[in-house]
Amino acid sequence: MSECNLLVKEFLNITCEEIKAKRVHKQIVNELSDHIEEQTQYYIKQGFDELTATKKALEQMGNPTIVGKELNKAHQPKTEWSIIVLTFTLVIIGGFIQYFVSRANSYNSHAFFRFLIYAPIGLIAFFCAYFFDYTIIKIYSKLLYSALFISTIIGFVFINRINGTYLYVYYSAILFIPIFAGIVYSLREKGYFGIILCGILYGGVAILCLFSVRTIAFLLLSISCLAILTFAINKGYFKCNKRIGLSIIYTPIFLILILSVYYILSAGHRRERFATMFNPENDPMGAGYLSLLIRELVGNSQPFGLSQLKGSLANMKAELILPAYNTDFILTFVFARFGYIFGVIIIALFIVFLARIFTSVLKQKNKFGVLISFSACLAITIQFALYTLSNLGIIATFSVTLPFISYGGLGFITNMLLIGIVLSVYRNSNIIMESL
Amino acid sequence: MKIDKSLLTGSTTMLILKLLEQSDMYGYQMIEELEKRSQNVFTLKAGTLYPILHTLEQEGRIESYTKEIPSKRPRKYYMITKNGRKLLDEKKAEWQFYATAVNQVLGGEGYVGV
Repeated sequence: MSECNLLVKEFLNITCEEIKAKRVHKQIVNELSDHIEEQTQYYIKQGFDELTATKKALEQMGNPTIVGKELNKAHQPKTEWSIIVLTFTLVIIGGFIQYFVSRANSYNSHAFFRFLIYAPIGLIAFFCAYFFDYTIIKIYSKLLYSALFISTIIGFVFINRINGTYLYVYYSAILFIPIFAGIVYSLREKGYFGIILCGILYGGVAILCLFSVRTIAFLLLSISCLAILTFAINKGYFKCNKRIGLSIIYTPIFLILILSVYYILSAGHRRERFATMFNPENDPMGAGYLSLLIRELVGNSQPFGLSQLKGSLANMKAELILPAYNTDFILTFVFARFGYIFGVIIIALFIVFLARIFTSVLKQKNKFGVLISFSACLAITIQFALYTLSNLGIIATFSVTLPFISYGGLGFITNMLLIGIVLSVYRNSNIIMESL
Repeated sequence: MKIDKSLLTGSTTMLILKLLEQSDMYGYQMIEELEKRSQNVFTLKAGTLYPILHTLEQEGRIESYTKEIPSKRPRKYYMITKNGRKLLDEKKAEWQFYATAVNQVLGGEGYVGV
């Protein structure tokens, strides 16, 4: 190496030593060496020899330590305190409800104890995702996809169906959503082929959900993947005609929708079951029972305290009549047991929280950061929306997780991972730079 | 005439934004252009320029993109955003306000015409 190169290298080394975020080093070295090179060429043209020209160019750069310190200031990690505080508020509310639940009914006396075990594990998951380099999801997206796909299938062998369904596939579906964002990113610039491949990889997981009879996981996965793909096509990530790209995904979806509607309407019993989902009154003692009970409990809730029920249910506490109240119906339970003011507070907190996380996505400048945090936000939002609507008796009942609040270790841990990803992207927004 | 560097510091951001308002540029080009336009009065050090550019980019005032240059490494260009134009207008107004005030003091009694 020539003496000139050594001088430049030394300068750059001293500069980089001051910059804590190692990820930006390469980019800064490229930009500065480009500058030094051009400046040196200028001095050579002025008649200086190469060594003098290099020295003069470096002198023009300024003191490397000061330059490094100034650049370091521009590339600091950022902390989104409002999201962190809101997340932990929701977790604490969840813990409080689990505590109440375990004291109210001896059947659930283990609930709070279990919460005390899974909550720290969830916290560890959160901190791992938060301080972890989220770009590995981009680099290893296909590997992660295969690993999750295979482990879900292995689960079919070792884990039993409960009431005909593989419940755990719900958590696989949630984890697939950010991985899908990684896949979309890795297939960007691949044109229509990229879009079709994304569709096929989504299809694989969708089939797992359907095979497990986990309809809600299927719904959650489908809406999220569709939103991610639409977003990516609209932003031009695939470098193809946007309209054709969109029609590649929306045409098959449209056809499948028509076919499923035809399938439902073609047989009388399916038609009735479907109608009951929207009109629980059709079958008050069967499929519609739970929805009607929920409407009763929420509809008659008081500002504070117990719901005022009529007839045979009068003066009954929610924990005695509502099944799965600390997992699937915690909001209904809060309305019926503590009053609607508490219920509305939880919902309002959640809405503020969701607004904050989506705002953090909009502030992102790098493509992958946007895509992955958007995917995690979607997964959290859709769970919240489905959970809240079913808990208020607006849509049919099913088994979903209310992120950070409802009982269950796996649900808690996966959602803590998701919010960890969102915050990690925000944290690194001045460090992981890749312009649009 | 050599000028005191501290005079330049406060207005560097404004000058950089002004340059980018007219066309997209890379770092070296900005320093060159600034020297040319100010007839060598503003000799900005590269070490001062890049931290400012990176900070402006974080704030969304400018955006960067890379352009392939034949037989060289890709070069990083900067362009101004809508947000950046807004900041430039603010800085210009601030500067004019300041300059008028300085002139009034320096011009003294004769200037205000007493």
